[in-house]
Amino acid sequence: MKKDLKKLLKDDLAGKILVFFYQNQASVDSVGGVSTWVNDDRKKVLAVLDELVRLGVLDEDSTGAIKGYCYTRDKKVMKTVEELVQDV
Amino acid sequence: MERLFLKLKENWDLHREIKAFGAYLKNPIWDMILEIPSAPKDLDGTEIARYVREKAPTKKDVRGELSQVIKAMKDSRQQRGLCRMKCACGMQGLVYPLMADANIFGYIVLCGLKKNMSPELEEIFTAFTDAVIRESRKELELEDMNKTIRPRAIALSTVHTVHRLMTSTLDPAELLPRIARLSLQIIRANRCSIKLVDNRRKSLIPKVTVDLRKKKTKLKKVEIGKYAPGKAVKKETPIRGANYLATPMIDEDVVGVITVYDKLDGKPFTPFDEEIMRTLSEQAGIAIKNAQLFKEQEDITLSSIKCIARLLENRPHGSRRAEASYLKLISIIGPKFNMNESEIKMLQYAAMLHDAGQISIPEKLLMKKGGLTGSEFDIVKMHPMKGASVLSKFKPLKPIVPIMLYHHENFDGTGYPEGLKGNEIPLSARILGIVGAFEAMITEKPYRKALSIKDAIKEVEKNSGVQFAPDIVKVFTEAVQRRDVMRLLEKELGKK
Repeated sequence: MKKDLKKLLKDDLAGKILVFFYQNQASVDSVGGVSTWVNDDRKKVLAVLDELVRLGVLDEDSTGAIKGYCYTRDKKVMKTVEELVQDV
Repeated sequence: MERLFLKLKENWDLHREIKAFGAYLKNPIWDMILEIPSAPKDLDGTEIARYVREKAPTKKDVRGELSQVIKAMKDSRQQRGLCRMKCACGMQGLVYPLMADANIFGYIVLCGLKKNMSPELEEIFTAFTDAVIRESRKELELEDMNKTIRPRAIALSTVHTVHRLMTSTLDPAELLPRIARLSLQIIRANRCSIKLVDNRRKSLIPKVTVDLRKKKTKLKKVEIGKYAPGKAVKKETPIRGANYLATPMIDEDVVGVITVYDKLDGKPFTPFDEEIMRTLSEQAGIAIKNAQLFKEQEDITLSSIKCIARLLENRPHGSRRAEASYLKLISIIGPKFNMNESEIKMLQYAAMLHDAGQISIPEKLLMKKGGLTGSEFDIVKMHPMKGASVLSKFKPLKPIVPIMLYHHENFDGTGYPEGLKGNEIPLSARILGIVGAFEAMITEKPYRKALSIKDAIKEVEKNSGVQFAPDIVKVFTEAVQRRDVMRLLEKELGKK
């Protein structure tokens, strides 16, 4: 996971999104919300969000109408992110 | 004020000012000093001190020159305006106090001017500097606003998203675990339990517990007024301890209570957590109440359908139906064709009522032994339309109207009422066509004996591609031969 996440973080947007959730760990937001906070294109943000979900950094709660993204509660993953986020 | 001083020091326009005036005034020495030093040595490390040391011949002279600078700073403070001074070897200088409102937060010191600035230039210099100060103050204000507003906007966005997630389902089985997960996420806690009020027994019934530590938690009923959840419900206010926070869900009356335990970071729950849980619980209370009302509405609809179905069974031609088996068959077949929960439910309702239109057929026709005449069959063929027409008046059952209307259509186009063929027939009607026909085959009628389940399956397979859609026949025959379905069918039909 760490290796894949490091690779993903070469992308500035992924770094911005990761930092956003790291700094706002209680946040639950939609793709529209996150793209506002990182000030970037919705489609690009969605692609990164889904990748972060795949890597286990974010959890998603979805219904037919909306998908909410939130920071992981897995302590191991949280520790890995804490190490990586310093370099972002 | 120190923040404003540092902000000003970084201000790009101020650097442009220094550059522009520097070029005009033959590169004097500029410095920005936060406070008036009490002694010349306190100016060590400043540009002014470095300049004076270069120019003054002796240490005594350096001290003297720097004392002049300090004196000019004091004068400018007193006058609250620009002060000229002599600095290093007969050169001219000036001090301008940096002011925000009436407060001085630093000084600009200029040294090494060959002659004094003209009054006009001094005017431009002070006006420009004041403008840069105003700009820096605005920047700081914006930064401060961003620091306070952004987290609030993010929190508000979270509340909005949570609200949308909660209100997007009316199924309590889906809603309650979602509320628990969202509570854990927002509060960053390890465990969340949701209990709902049972007013008859004056107790709280545990409905869901989510524990991130994968601990086995016993779901216990709690008396209202006891323990934190019970007290929160009784007092209608959150009850907070170091490692628990119980918040009642109130929508007019108390619906239940959400209790979160043990924060992920091990810290105690705070008043801020309490505020957040209050908001979330309010939303949860409304969502649960809506789901409960929807469920009640659905129960009423289902009871009405069952009532009509029973009435149909009690007609002279009626016979005992294996209702649970057909509903189970539909619940197995539906998902294989990507039908969603609501579509499957509607198909099940349609299965219970599919021949409701037969109520319009004279009993003598339904009881007739032997074949029907052409005109008699025309009357029978009307029953899907009659049934659909009656049910179209009942709003919650509108989605089943096309199923009822077309469930006697045949795959090859030889059915009724419209002679639709293949995929022209709605999927639900195609499924019900098979299940309904199977039902008719294994049920005894006044004019013929019931087929065995095995023979009925063979009959359905024989009509694949003719009366029935082949893809559905395939799924149906697999489903009906499942051990659980077979057992249920035999039980309902009273066979061993």
